[in-house]
Amino acid sequence: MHIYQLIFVIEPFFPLIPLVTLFVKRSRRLKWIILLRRYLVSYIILVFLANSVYYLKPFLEDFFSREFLGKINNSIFNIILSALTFCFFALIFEEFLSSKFKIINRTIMFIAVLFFIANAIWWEGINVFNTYSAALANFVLISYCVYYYQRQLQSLQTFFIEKQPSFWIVSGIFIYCAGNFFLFTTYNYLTFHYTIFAFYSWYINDFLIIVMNVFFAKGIQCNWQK
Amino acid sequence: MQLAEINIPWILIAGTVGMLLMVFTIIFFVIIHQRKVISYQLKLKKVAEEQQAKLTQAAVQSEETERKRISAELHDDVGAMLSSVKLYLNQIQPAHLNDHGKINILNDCKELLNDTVQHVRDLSSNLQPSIIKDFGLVSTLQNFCDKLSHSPGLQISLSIAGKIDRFQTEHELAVFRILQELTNNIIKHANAQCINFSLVRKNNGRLHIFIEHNGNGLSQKEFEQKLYSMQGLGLKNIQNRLNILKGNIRFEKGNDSMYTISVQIPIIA
Repeated sequence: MHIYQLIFVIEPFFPLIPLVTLFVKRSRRLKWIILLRRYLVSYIILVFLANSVYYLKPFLEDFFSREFLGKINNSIFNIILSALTFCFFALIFEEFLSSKFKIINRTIMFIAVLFFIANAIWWEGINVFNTYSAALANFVLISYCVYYYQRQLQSLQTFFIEKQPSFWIVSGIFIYCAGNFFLFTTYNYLTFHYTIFAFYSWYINDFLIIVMNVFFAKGIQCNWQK
Repeated sequence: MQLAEINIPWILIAGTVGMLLMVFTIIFFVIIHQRKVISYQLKLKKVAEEQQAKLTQAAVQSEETERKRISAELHDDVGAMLSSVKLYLNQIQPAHLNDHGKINILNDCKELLNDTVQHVRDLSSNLQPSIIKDFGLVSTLQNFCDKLSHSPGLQISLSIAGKIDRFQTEHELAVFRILQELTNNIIKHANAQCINFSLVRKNNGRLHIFIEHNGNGLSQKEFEQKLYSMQGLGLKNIQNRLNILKGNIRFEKGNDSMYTISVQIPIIA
């Protein structure tokens, strides 16, 4: 088994890092922890399904026609995952920011979800990775992260900001969204013109997911210590 | 230049690396900047507190100076004058007077004068206990207890555990003032009949003073309420002196209906 195959096999289980931390360091049942746990479980299921479809397709050629298999695509799972990731992260931000932010966030979420659906149905379709949706989601989340840091600098509630669980969660999201921003926005272009690079670009995504999950685990640990 | 000629993958990688660098820069900036601002604010708060402590100390010092001046005036001027009057009066003997009523007046005058002289002495000594400078807190407290024990219906005791060395006179005086104020409050407001003082020198260099009494004392909550209310000037003075000494005070009610006031002070020799 090649290293890239191994990575794709273990890829769905990266969220086990924070999930195990959550299990070991049983902390207070806060809303953001519940949201985070739901996101992590959704991630495992959707990525597992997406990778299973991708890898099982060649083995199914003996049983199904090529025409039928050509219609089966794992992009739908990625599209759902993008939308869910955005929604869960946006809801987590609500827990870390003021109640005023909630109204703005819900409005943005509503518009963004409408855009995701419209993009998946009419513009980019469900057979390709939805770069417009991913770019929008990442842009919004990056803006939220910057807003969170700005609020932290203004409020000056704690001396050791790195002991705040929210700091680690937001930093994990920030690294993930900012690191993937260019890759997600150009992914469709890359699949047509730089197919190999597009394939390998998922390693960057995997690396960022690991970093994000490590940050999440640290955030959970900080919450436990609190 | 055609789009295909540009090395898109490398631009993407560079962009991604750039983004990540920017992210880490922001995160570090937030951590460092926040800490800097908070430590600056803490520093400002500390300076303000120091300023406040200095003001309190100056107020306490000026109060002590004023007490000293009044004490000296009483002792040296009023006391001396009263002594002169006593001397003159002593020269008039009952034998010099024919009228029995006048003799009685003379005797009353002498008695009243003796009381006044004693009263002025006590007042002077209370205002500025001269023995604190020469003999320290323990002796002054012993003297204070002796004087109090002469009061009718009041039982006073003092116990000292371990050797209590002398410390800064200003601090000794401040401790004495605290105890003096507390005792006055216990007698005046709590109507106690029995007061026990205990002084304990701890190994950590702190002096623990316990005042136990059977009056109607204060709880810690009541003390804090009085302290932050408009009344309770005496309690505020106690707190101010404790702030200067970096000590603390605690009011407790025991099971045996006895109240205990414990004062802890770090000793700086």
